[in-house]
Amino acid sequence: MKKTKCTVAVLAIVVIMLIAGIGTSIYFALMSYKQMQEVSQYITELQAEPKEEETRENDVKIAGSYEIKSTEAISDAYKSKDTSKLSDKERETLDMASDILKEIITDGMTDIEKETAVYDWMCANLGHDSNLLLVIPNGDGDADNPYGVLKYHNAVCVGYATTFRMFMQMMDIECMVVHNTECYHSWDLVNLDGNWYHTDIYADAGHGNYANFNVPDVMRMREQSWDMDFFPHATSFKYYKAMENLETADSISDIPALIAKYMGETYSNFFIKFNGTVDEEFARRAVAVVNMYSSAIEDLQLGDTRYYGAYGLWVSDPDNGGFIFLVSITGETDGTSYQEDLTDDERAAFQQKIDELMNSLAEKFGGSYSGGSYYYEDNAETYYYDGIEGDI
Amino acid sequence: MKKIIAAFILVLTMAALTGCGEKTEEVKDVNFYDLRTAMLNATTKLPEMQTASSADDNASELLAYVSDIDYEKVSNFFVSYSKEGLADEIVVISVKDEADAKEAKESLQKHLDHRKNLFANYAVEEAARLENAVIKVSGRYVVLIIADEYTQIERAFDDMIKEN
Repeated sequence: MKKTKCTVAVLAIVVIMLIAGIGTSIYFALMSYKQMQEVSQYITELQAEPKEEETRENDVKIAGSYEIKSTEAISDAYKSKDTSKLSDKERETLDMASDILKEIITDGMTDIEKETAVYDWMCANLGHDSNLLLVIPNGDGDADNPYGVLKYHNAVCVGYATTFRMFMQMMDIECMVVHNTECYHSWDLVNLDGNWYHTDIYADAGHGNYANFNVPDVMRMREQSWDMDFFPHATSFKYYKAMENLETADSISDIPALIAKYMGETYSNFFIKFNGTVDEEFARRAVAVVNMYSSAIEDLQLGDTRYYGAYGLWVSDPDNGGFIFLVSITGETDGTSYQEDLTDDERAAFQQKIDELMNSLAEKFGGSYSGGSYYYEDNAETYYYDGIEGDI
Repeated sequence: MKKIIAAFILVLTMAALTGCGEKTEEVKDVNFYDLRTAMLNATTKLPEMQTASSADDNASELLAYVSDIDYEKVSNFFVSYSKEGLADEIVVISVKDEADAKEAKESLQKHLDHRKNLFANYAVEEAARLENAVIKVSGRYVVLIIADEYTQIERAFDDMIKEN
């Protein structure tokens, strides 16, 4: 009897252990399956292409803080003279903007004249908002919208871009606010006579030298990148300021005299239309000459203009046909020197021209030039630029 | 037998209590005012600086400008930055749990990347100075230093932490 009891007890323990074992196996199998599912889902998520956000003009945050917002309600109210749908803040903005237009726009002005008048007023009357670069901004300031910009005369790039667009739209000139791919800068695209141009007043504020006024894509692309599938293309050179400085020349030897002519001028970019055939070798040699000037004038500050270097760029002229050569003595070179396309004698002759130019500039603006370096009146070799950069 | 069980339960209870006691112990930081003063005075080449810290009323909002770490995890912090919008900046964050130091470091790296983008777009001449930025972890402390004489400031930080 005792033996039977013992056998039953052992059997019971075995059965319990078996059930527990099977139960545990089922539990772990289920858990493993669940975990496998989670891992599989995780891998699927990792492999999935990140959804690219669609580009839009408004409701975009720049530098993580400043939002591009539509101001069409204000420009529509200006045109319809119906302010009933505007908030008090919008009405005040409209009043300030209307007063400015009354002051600077006259009857019979063309669109380019109206645009220039607004550009000049904004460059002369608005300053950069210092909050932009502070780690912790002081107050909110409204520096990114026309209300704050026109009231306090301080703006971040979004403030300049949206205020300019509002003025343009009030005058029925088509205009868009563009932002760069990284969402750290914004500016305007304006439509004049059916062609679009880039205008970046933030970059020109304070000096108003038209360096970033009505610029075509091909030049703007050297400094910024943006969604060109979304924003309209700016291909025309008609109202690009450098076209007002269109020069003709016979050979690359004429380039130094032209650079000397424009150095120190408020607007110093110019185009050259060369007489005769422009082949690939000629094109490279022209670029090589301009590049020789780059290191001599890099970081040079003459009056209100800062020279970052020099570059030459061949472009097809969409308005008149053929190739024209842009000489920019305020922009950075792309590093391709083409110096091997010039002979030693040519390089020596051009270097002499550069030295002559630098000496004459030192005489005109104060300072001195020796050993390939420009020294300012306080004998500092490198100019220290205090404040926000103007060339963005 | 009962005595053995009672002793066993007592030992278990003591162990549990000791364990809980360790978890609730308050972390002790170096004095942050002294730390900030020592770091700011380590060089004469800093521009005029402005400071926000855990002593401010809206401390959690202020920290959010430089770090997205949950404020509950933070024991103390200070942010000293150029009043004129130059690149110079010193941030020290101490976290309650050393395990969160990595998260704090990553948040400061994100902040540094944001500053680099800003300066690259708006003050190119300052942008190069951010390339020498120091971010490092020392126990529960995470530090970011952007300054010309960053090694001297870093040494001041190390000395203060060591003394603590």
